[in-house]
Amino acid sequence: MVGPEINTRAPRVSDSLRPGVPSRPATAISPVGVLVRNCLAAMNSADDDAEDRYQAALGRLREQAATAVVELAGMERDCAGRDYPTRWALVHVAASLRHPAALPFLRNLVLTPIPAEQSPDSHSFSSVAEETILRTTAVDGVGALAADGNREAQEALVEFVAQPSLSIRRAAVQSIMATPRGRSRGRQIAALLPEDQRFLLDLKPADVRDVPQVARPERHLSDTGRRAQTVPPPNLLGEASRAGQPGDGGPSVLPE
Amino acid sequence: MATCTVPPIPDKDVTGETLYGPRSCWQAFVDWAWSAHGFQNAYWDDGFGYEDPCNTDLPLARTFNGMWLLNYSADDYWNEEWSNNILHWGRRYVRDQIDDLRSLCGDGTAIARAVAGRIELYLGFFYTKDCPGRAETLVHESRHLGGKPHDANFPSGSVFGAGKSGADSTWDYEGAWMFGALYLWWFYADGRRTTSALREAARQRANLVIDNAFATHPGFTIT
Repeated sequence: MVGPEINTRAPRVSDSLRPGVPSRPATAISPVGVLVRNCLAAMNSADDDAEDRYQAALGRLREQAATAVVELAGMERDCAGRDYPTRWALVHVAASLRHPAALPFLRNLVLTPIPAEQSPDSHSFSSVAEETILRTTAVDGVGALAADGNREAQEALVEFVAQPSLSIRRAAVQSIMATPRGRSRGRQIAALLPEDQRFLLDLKPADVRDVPQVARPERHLSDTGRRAQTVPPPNLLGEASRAGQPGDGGPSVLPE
Repeated sequence: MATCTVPPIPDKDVTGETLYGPRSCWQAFVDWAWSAHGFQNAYWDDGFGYEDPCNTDLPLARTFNGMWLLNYSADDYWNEEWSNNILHWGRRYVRDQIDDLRSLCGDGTAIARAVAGRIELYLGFFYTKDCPGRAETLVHESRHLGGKPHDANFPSGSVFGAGKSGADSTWDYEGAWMFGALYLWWFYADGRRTTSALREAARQRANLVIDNAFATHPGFTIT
């Protein structure tokens, strides 16, 4: 593979990026740690059998759920604080276990105060946003346990409503409403919410097909964009015939 | 001119590099993506990946990974009619809008910005976003190039800072937050050639945007 063809070299005006410190080789990993890593790999595969392998990996973790949750919590704790993708994946696995052994870890995460914003420009990047996503994922995991009838999980959801985060409250309210008797608890939940956030009780779970779309998006092109007339990307190998685009002919260059 | 260092790289399985890296390491795609998005070569060498476009430790390959996802996640990806949904036309909008794409260090946390007709991508884009998040960022910033600034302050309780500027007033404003959230939502609902984990991550992020980035909450949530 070679870089894209370029025709000119501009004078140096840009920044330089230097290699980082190589990550340390993994230290000895426990047997359950191997299962967690296998689960992460299966969870992030797109092979035809990926979902089956992921469910099988979850099943193996579930067989030793208490140990698995300790391992997941330890791995999440050991992640670099800003490694939000890996931390999220570990929380997602814990939530996906749908096992009571995961409840203390998930509950503790949700109830841990979100650290103060680390970013000077939270519109561009917000550590509070990333920390919140970890917690809403945990709330959803607790919600799944609550829907299965776990009383402790149901009580935890009510605790979560008191958290000072709109998204955590939203996720908790949605999970409570999804439990068998959730709808009957509306007044109790409303009393826990600040007045200006009681609208959370009225939010509608929606399908993307049912919400307003962008009408005639080409209206929103810049003048330059309207003139661009860029060409579409090459078709994927083996899918050209499905595309049925005369003149396109599918990929003309093989992957190198 | 600044000099920065590659930060610790998140697990590549988790961010989608393992999945999308081999896919975007395809000469025809690399050549097309470079040309279609106005990559400025002076801004992609000197460590950012021009010399090594398949190395997913580096910004260029990680950008290509997000672009591969943006371009091929609809089942019938070749149907990019404007009358279709954003999972289809998002890629067309992005490449039509961007004709000057640059990589820069930033302050270490910054993600991206649209400024003076170009888009600048920073270390946060390459190393804190997963592949769907990078696609969403390209959609979001492209909307700004379309002349749509944020028009409101973040609401009470917003993770982005209640009362600070940078929110969109409503969903119907059709601003950058709506474009990004809608893209993530469609990717969650109907994304193909991807994983259930990346789709779920997209759902969580879309809900966060819906909850926190509109002065008036849109009134719905993704379950």
